[in-house]
Amino acid sequence: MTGERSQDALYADAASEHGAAIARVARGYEMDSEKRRDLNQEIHFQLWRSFASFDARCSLRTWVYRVAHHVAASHVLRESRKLSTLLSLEELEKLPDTDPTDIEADTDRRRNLDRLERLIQQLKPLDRQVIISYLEDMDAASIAETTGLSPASVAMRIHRVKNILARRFHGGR
Amino acid sequence: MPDKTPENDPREIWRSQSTEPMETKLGSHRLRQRARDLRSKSRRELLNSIVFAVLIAAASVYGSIWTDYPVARALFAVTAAWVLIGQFFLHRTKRQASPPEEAGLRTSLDSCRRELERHIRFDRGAFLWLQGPLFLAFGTLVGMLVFAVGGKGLLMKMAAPWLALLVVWALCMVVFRRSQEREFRRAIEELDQIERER
Repeated sequence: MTGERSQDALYADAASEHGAAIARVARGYEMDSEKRRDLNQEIHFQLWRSFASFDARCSLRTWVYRVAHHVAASHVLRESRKLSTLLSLEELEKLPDTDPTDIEADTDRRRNLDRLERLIQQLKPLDRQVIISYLEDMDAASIAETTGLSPASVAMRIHRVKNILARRFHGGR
Repeated sequence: MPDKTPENDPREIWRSQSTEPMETKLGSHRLRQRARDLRSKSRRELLNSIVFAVLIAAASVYGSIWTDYPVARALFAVTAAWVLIGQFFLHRTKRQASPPEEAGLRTSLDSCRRELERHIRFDRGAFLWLQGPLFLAFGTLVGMLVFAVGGKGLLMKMAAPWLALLVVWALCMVVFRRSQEREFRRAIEELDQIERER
């Protein structure tokens, strides 16, 4: 059963290399801890299934992120189905910061992480993927390859992400 | 004064969050167990759907045998055929769900669009092939009752609020489904717009 071993081996490699990043992707898409655990396991399961036909046409990392974001975006559609309540980066950039947490006085990581998660979860799936990828330190070319956005579109979105994060986490631009 | 300490650097906050070891990998046994569970769930859903369709068809056949009205008999026969044929189309739509490996081959933009289109197809299929025959069966039954009592009598008075509720429920289902489809279509148009900007 070479195929099966190879599927398992590919999954093992992907999980050890990107397991923590997958868990963070799940956090970007689901606030509820129980549902998030299920989503995380679903991503791992679908990733393992997907490796049955991995043909190295793209890098392992691109494959992992595509599958992870696809499963997570499907979860958002299935769970909320209220796409009209989600915002684009452009809309979020124009909104005033209504989060009650005081950033200047607050240096507690947990609270800042909650704040960041709340911000991410206001976004539409594709923009959510861009902000998560930026936070994961992916470069613009990799984000473009994973999402299918043009490099110019990724650059514009990253610029917006930086503005939003600067305003909400550094108290200015 | 902007605070740029590591505690307030979003990338640092994001990447340094703790993850449980069990969150980062699933064991081979669990993966295979989950695959078996998924197959069982699919079989269970298929069985439930077929049982539901057979029950509607059986009730319709019973109604068509029992009734003296030719129009009602024809409508019940249509309901039975509709719901049974519908099973084929419903499960064909389900089988068309993107397998995970396709998500790896496609860009997220493409995957998102296909997922939205799949939701529209599935919701439309469920409405057309399951709820549609159900509405027709109830509608025929109601029509028969109204026709039998001539729109008068105690039976009609007792049934009227429930019939009204049924009609309101059916209308709400239609309105809700249409608004959801519009929302999905808007999301697809936004993705198309993003693609055109390339």
